Formats: sequence, structure tokens, C-alpha cells
Amino acid sequence: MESLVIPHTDDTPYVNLDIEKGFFVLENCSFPEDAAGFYTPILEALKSYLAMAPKSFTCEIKLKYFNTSSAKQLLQLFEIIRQISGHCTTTVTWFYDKGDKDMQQAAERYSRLSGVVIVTKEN
Amino acid sequence: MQELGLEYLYCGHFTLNLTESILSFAENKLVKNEETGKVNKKTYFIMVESLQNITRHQKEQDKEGFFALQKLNENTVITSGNYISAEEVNPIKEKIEKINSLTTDELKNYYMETLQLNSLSDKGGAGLGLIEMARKSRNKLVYDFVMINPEYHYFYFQTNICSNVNNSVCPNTITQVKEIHEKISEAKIKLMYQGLFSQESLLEFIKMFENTEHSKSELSIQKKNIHILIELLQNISLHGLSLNNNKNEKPGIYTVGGDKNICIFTTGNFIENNKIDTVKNKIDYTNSLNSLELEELYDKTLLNPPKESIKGAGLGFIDMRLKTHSKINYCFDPINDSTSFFTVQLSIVQ
Repeated sequence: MESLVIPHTDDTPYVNLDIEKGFFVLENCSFPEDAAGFYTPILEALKSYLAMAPKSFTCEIKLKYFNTSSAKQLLQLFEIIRQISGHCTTTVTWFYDKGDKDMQQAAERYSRLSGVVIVTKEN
Repeated sequence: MQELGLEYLYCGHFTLNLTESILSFAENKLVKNEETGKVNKKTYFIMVESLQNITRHQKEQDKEGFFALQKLNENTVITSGNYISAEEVNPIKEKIEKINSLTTDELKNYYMETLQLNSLSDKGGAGLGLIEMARKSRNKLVYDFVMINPEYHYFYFQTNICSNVNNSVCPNTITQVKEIHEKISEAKIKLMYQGLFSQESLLEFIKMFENTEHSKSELSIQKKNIHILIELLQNISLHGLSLNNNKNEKPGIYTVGGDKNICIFTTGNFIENNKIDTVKNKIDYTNSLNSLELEELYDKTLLNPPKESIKGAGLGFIDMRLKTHSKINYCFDPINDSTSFFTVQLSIVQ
């Protein structure tokens, strides 16, 4: 399996799934019209990688905005992470801009709904 | 406004960045020939000149400029508006009158003479802009002055470009545009676009919005504004009814208004009458909930999105209510037996 790197566009985030380092990041903005179309291959790659039972896994979310159709995709991302969190050391950090309560609350919601521990950090 | 063919209108302070984003939007959307996909160079040139006239003569921050683009059959009508000092009124009037009195050949000579004189005015222009606008539009320049106070006048300037070279009819819409300007100023509307919506135009509107006065709010509010803007405009491009079978572009309307204390977004699109009840019930229900209930509904919808909203996640209205802490205003205006026009309005405290 190879690492996956997708450069960001005006409406889709920078994606990096680095299988050497056991690292995954989503950065910038996410508001494509067809969020499922954008995220499906990424979530598939992540599933395949996590099925290889890595010893540790780090996930960083550094999104400035995401639309409601990306919201559902993000929940799926955390559900995939939850499935492996019992078998490997998982660290999930959600970065948000100073004072951005909406984004902070979004992280708390995902943690509550998926059962994944998400550390929030103000930029 | 529909009869006036108003496609784009902005009223407020024109920064360089805003002007650039208007021009980029114009290039991609407003002055493109729908059939050939080519940008109408003459129209683009006149837009650049009109916008430069506004920024060049813009005095203080509070002296608002105005820009409007209309499409009337074969004509594109561009109107600019800006404050000028009282002593500038007569020289401008004389210059325009002179240009309007000349024939095509005379205008060409006048252009060469002015170019050779090279007497740059203290604002950086040489009056060449006006001559070029007259030459490129092949129409008379239209203008009007409104006295604001003994010191300042408001200068309206209109250019008319006809895509049909054999047509010399020049609709003068300055009176109606002035009325619209007055109305939108009263309603505190800063920007209006009426036309086709797509993801591409959403990106342009975000850039444009980031260059308006609401971008001065604190970062978290700015992001909230953009968030709502994205959801509203994607509602048009995802759920709006396309009238000409082009599924990627949906007709609609978008306005931004308010002041430094409030940002008001209004969007409108066509909707099939048989969908009205579902949408109405959804908004009414969302409006009836308090914050806690909205949070619960958001969680529930995120976990189990309802089937009827396959295109979106069904979260849009809940998200807007949660983020704005205000009710969603809406109305449905019947168009015919099968179609209505659906308008949504959201206010965000800055």
C-alpha cells in the first residue's frame, strides 16, 4: 500500500495519509458539492491502512470550514478510527482557530458521537 | 428588478481586492458569451474603466461607491456611481458632452489629440478612459449628477454595449438604476447577484465577501458568515430547480446586506410546488426548537440522515439555526401551477 497525498483546492482539503509514519491529516477547507464523492476513496484508503494493524496512528484535523455534506463524511472517518482504537495507540487532535467556538463544538460532537477521544487545540 | 435585467450590483466601499474579485467574477460569469464561452472584451474593458473611476474618485471610507451590470436583450449596461467634489461637476459634464457630440472619426482624432497632450489629471486619468468607453461601446455616454450637499455630488455614469453591431438603440436606464440604488441603500443591501449558481460561482462569492466590510468582524464571526454563505448558496446549486435542463447551474438570487452590527444573507431559487410542504415543515420544525433540542436533532440527523435529502445531509437548516442563533425567515411565491420561488433569509450578529 502507498501513502496518499491530495493537494488542497479552493473547496477541498489537503489530505495526507502517510503510511510510514502512521499519520493522517485533513487541512484547510472542505465544502465540495459532492462530499461523498471526494471522501469515499480517502476513507477506503484509510480503512485498508488501518486493517494492516499499525502500532500507532496519529490523526490531525486542521479544517477552517466544512459544509454539512462533509459533516457526515467526517463522522464516518471517526467511526473508522474508533474501530482500531482498541488495538493501537491512537491520537486524534482537532485544531481550531482562536475563538472559533463552532469548530470547537464540532470536535466535541464528533468525540461524543463516535466515542473517539479527540483532543482540541486552539491555534 | 427582473425587467431591468439587473445581474450584479454592489454598493459600498471599493477596495482594490474587491475590485479584483468583481472583475474575476465578471470574467467567469457576467461578460461571458453564453454560446461561445468567450469573454466579451469590450464589456470587460468598460467594466475595468468604470470600476477604476469609482476607486480613483473614492474619497473617504464612508463615501460609498456603486456598480451595476444589467443585461437587456442584446445590451449590456454598466452603471457606476461615486462621490465627486462640487468643482469637478462641470469639467466632467463638459468632457462627456464633448465626447457625445463627436462622430466616430472625430472621436478617434480626439483620442489621438488627448493622447499626445498627455496631460494627466491629478487623479491619474487623462480623460482617455471616457473617450475609449465611448469608442468601444459605440454609444452615447449617459450621466447624471445628484447634489448631496454643497461640497459633494453623486456622479452616475452609464455605458451601453450592444452585442448586435447593427443595432443602435441605446436604452437609457439611469433613472431606474438610480431608484434601485436608493432602494437598496435604504434596505442596506450591499451586494446583489441574479443569475446562475454553481460551485464555481460560490467560490467567487466567498472571495468577494472576504473583501467586503463584513470581513472586518472578528475571525470567528467571519467564519460563521462564510459558513452560512456556503450552506445557502449550496442549497441553491444542490436543490434549486433548473429551468433549462442545465443541471450544473441553477437560476437564483443572492444578496448580502446589513451593517457593522449585522450581516443579512438572502437567497432565492425556484422550487417545485410539490416539494414546498416538506421544506416548509422542515424549516418550521427547526425554527420551533431551542438550542439544546437543535443540538439533539443535529446529532440524530448526523447519525441517521433522512432519506428524502439524499443530495445534502439534511443538516443544513439545523446547522444554520445553531450557528446564527436566529430564526430562518422564508417565503414561497407562486410562479405557476408547478413552480414557486423560494426565498430564505438569515441574519448573523457581528
